[in-house]
Amino acid sequence: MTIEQQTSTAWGDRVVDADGFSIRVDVRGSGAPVIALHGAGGPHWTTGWEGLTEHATVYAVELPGFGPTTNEVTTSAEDMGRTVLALADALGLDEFALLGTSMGGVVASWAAVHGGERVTRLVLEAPAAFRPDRNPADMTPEELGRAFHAHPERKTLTPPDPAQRARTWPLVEKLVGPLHDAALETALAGVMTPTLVLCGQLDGLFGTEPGAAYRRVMPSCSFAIVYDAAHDISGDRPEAFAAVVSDFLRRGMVYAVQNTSTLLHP
Amino acid sequence: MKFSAFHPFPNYDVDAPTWPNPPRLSRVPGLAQDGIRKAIAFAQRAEEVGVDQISVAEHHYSAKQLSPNSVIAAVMVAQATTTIDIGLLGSTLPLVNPVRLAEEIGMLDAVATGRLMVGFFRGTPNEYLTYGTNPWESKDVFYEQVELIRTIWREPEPFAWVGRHFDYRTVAVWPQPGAPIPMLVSATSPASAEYAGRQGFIAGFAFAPPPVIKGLADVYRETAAAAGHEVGPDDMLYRAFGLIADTDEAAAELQARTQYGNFMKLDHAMGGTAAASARVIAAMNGVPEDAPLPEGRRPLPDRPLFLGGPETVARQIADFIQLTGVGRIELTLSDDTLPYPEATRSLELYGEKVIPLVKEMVGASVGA
Repeated sequence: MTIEQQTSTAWGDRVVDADGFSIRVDVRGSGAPVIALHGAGGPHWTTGWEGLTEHATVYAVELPGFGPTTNEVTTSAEDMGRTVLALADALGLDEFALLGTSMGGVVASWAAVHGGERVTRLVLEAPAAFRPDRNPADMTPEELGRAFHAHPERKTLTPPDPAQRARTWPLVEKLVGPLHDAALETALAGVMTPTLVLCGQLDGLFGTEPGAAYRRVMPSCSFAIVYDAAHDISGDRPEAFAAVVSDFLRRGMVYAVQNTSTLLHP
Repeated sequence: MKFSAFHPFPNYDVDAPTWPNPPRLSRVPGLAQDGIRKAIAFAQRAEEVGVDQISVAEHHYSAKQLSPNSVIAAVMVAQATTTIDIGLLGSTLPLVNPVRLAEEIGMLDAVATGRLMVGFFRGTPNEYLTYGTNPWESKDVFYEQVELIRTIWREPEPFAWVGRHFDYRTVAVWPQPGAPIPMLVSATSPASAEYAGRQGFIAGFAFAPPPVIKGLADVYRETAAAAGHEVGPDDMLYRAFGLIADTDEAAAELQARTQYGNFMKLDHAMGGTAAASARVIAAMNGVPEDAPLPEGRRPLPDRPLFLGGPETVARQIADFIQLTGVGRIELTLSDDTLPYPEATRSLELYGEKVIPLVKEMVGASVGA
C-alpha cells in the first residue's frame, strides 16, 4: 500500500515481549511518551516523526508481522489495538499518547477505544478508517506516487520489496478493515480522548474524508488539513507536522487557542 | 457570449494628486456619498440597458476607486438590482484574510445567489503598499489562499488549516454559498494562464493587445484540455477600456478632451511611489530584492482599445472575439476623468446598440 518502505530486518533498539509477541521498538527523544504506529509499508521514521522527538519520547513500534516473522494470529485492528495496550504495559507506561499513520491510525483508534484514560492524546496521520472507495491497484505508478508524495525531493524513497509486501498484505487487509467500520464509528463516539486527525490536502488515496468523519463522530476531535501534503504528511511537510502535533500533544484541544505574538516592537 | 461593464466606483470632480490620495480630499461633505450613489445608479442603468454583468474590484487609498472592500461594493450593487450578474473581479487575495473573505462572499452570495462570479487576483503593484504586504511571497500566498477558500466551500466539518503561510486551528465558515460560485483568476501571463487552465478556473485577461490575448488564450485552452477540463469561450473574460459616443468623431473628441483610458497618465499618477511600485512588479515576478531594475518607463496605450461610435466599437469587439475566442467582454466605461453623463451615455450605447450588433456580427461562430 506504500511505495516507501524501510527494510525491516534491523528495526528497533528494544525487543519487548507482549501479548504473545516479541515486539521491536525504536525509542528516540525525550519527554512525555508517544507510542507511534506505522502504516502498511512497515516501520519508518519520517522527518516529521523525528521532529516530534524534540519534545517527546517516541516509541516507534514494529507491529507484529511487519518484521521478519509472519503474524497469522492477529485478526483485526481491534485485536492489534489490544496488543499495543499490552505493549504499553510491558514498557511500563501508565499514560501515553498514541500516534498512528494510515493503517496504524486504525490500530491506534481501536487502542484508544480500549485504552480509556491511559491514552492522553490520539493523533492520526491520514488514517485508513472511514476512507473513500479508491483502490490503489487501479492507479498508475505515477498516480500512486503523487497520491503518496507531494514532495518526493524532501525524502529518500525506497522502492517496496515485493516479497515483503506479499507476505504482509493479508495482515494489512485485516488491519485496515472495511471502508467504513460501523463498529469503530460507534465505539469512537464514546472516546473522550483529545484527538487530532491530520489529512493531506493532496492525499490521492483517502482525500480529507477520514478527517471529516472522525470530526463528526468523536466528541473531542480536531481535524486538520495539511496544505501541500499528500498521503505522507509527515514526510511532505515535516516542520508543520512536528509543530502542530507537538503543540497538540502539549496542550490538547486548547491548541486551538493560538498564542503566537504579533508584537513587533515594544 | 456575455457582456459586462466594470465599474471602479470613482469619485467625480476630485483633482487628486498622485497615489496614495490625501484623505483630506475625501472629507468634502457629500463627496463619497455622491460617488457611491452614482456607482449604484450606473449598475441599475447597466441592468436596464441589457448588460449581462456589472463588475467591481478591490482598490485602496484612491479617489478613483471607492471600493477598498469589493464585497461591500458588490453587496451594494446586488441589493440595488435584481437580475444582472455581479462580478467580484476581484479580491486582492494576498492583502486579505482569506477566511474573512470567504465569510464576506458567503454573505454577498446570500443576496445574489446564482448571479455571482468571484475573481481572485494578486493585485496591482501599488496595492502592496496598502497594508505592507510582502510581494516576493505573494504568489505562494495566493495559491494557498485560493486552495483554502476552495476547501472552505467544500469541507463538511470544521477543520484546522496547516498551511505554509496560514495557520488556522478552527475554520467553519457561515454562510456557505447557495450554489457553486464560478471562480476566475488572472491569466495575464503565460504562467498564470497555465495555472488557470490546470485548475479549471475562468481565465481573466486584461488590457493587453488582442494578439497577446490570443496567445494567452491558447495557453489556457491547451493547459485546461491537458488537465481534463472542458473550457469554452465563456470561460474566458477580457477587460479593457471602452468609450462609446454617438459618433466616432464625438468619441475621439471626448477622449482627447478627458484623456479617458490613457494608461500613460495612470502610470504617472503613481508619483513618488513609482519606484516602490516598480520594485513590487519585479518582486511579484520573482526578481530578488537586490537585483537592479531596468531604467525608463514601458510604453503603454494612450487611449481605450474599444473607442468610437456604436458600429465601430461593435466591429472592434467582434474582431477581438473572432481572433481570440474569448467569449466574455468586460468594458471599463467610467473613471474619475470621464464626466458621469458621458460615462452613462457610453454605457447606454454599449447595452442598447453595441452588444446586439456584436451578437449579430459574431453570430454562431463563437459559442453562445
